[in-house]
Amino acid sequence: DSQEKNANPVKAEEAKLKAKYPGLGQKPGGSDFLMKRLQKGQKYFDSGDYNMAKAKMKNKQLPVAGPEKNLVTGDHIPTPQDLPRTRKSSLVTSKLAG
Amino acid sequence: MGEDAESPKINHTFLRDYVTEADVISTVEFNQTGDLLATGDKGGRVVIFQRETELKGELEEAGEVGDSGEYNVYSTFQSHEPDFDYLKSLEIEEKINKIRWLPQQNAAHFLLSTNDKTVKLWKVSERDKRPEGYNLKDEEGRIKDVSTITSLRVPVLKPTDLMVEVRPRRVFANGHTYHINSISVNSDGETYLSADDLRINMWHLDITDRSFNIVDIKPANMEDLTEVITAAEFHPHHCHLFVYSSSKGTLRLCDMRASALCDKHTKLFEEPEDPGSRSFFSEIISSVSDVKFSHSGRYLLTRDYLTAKVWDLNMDKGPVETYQVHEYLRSKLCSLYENDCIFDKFECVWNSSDSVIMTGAYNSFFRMFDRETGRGVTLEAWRENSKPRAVLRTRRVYTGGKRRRGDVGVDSLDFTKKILHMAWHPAENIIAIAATNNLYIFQDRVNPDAQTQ
Repeated sequence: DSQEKNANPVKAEEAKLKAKYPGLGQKPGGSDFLMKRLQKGQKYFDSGDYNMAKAKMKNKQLPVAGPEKNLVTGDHIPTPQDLPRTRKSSLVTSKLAG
Repeated sequence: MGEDAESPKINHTFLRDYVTEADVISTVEFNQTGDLLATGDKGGRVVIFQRETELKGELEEAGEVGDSGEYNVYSTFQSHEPDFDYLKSLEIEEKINKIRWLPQQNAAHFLLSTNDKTVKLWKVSERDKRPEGYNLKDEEGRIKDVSTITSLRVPVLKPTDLMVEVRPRRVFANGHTYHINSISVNSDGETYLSADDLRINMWHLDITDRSFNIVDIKPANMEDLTEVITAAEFHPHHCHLFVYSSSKGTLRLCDMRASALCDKHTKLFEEPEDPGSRSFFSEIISSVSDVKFSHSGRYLLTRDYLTAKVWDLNMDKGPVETYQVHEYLRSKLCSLYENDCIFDKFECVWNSSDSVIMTGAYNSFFRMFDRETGRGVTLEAWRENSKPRAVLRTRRVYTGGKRRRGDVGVDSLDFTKKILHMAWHPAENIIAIAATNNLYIFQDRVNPDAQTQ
């Protein structure tokens, strides 16, 4: 039965995933993805934190944002590089038009 | 904004990457006649191509105008800019999610373009004449000394080099809390819909400060959120009907005559799930990434991660046709989940006679399925492997059995080369395929006009 044949590779893949990430959500493919999708573009910046950090650590290196800079943790202090800024629009014409 | 003395020097690698990133094409759309083709990109720019009408010598003598011309750049403009919503601390990408052309009503062309938050209506018009012979101004536009004017003349329109002007005519802002994934122009020619993850709004093309909310699936408690809207489209002929797809693989047909708020569907299209095959991946791969009405209005075409399905509007129990796009990926779902490819959103399109459907895949491959025979073919949009005007070879992914020359193994597939966006000419067998930052236009020379087989 082809359905069974199909289910097996998928179940094997699922087992692989669960072995790698045992803490993966109980809900299959559920709210976690959807929440992430809805929160796309969300940036966090606290000017109070930022200015305090600047004042305190004038001579020290500011902690640099890790790969998960979109997540806010208690220790994470955004740096000017991470500041959500209105980027300059493309000054270069699309290469399709060139 | 003043320069902060402590801000870091510009990182040139970042700039280079950004420029390339901006060139990634995010949408492709032909207008209703197929003479114009618009592309939108991640940098918020729109490039419009126009088809050349060939007037070859022999054709002219025969009194015919050949239309087997190529597409050349007609106009380009910056549609959307990067933005930031300070109130919500939300970065708004300038990436153009969708472009839809309005049916042409006069000499000008109109199109709607949208990013995550704002829809804009653009007017594209040509100017090939300019007035000459003003009485009060000289040729450079300087005001003349009135005392030097001894006679009056009527200014005349003289031909000039063609200029294409693009102007924003409407900005439909602040209609969406979540990210817009679709826009669709109604057959009534006056309204259009815009859909985000949780809501669908209906707008009048002339009115920018109001829109009607026609679907709202936001739960009272966000903890109860189980599905989002992934795509929406108006019926091609019936102005009261529209369809929207969800992340759970369902389609809902709504009739606006039934009620003002169409939260209750008129018809729910859902394929029954085989409980035995349920897995962690089931829901993710069943999420519909695109939905398109057939030109006839009788069928719906949907794309989920591994298949393309044709649904009959009269039959809500399941699809009438299912096409395997890349079934061999079923045994790779774990790694595709890890590299996020499982969330890629592929588009799907009909040919003009609804006899062929097409959708993209990985490794610069795209697939076409003949509905009559049920057979599929794999083609490639990769210029390294073909010359302009060369015939496209069919490709094959090796999945067992006898290996042929040219077969590509599943593990050799390049998952960064995704064919997500594409368009089919409304009347002829011409297709436009977006391959990252390149646009390919293929024409069928053997059967240029769509025929119902």
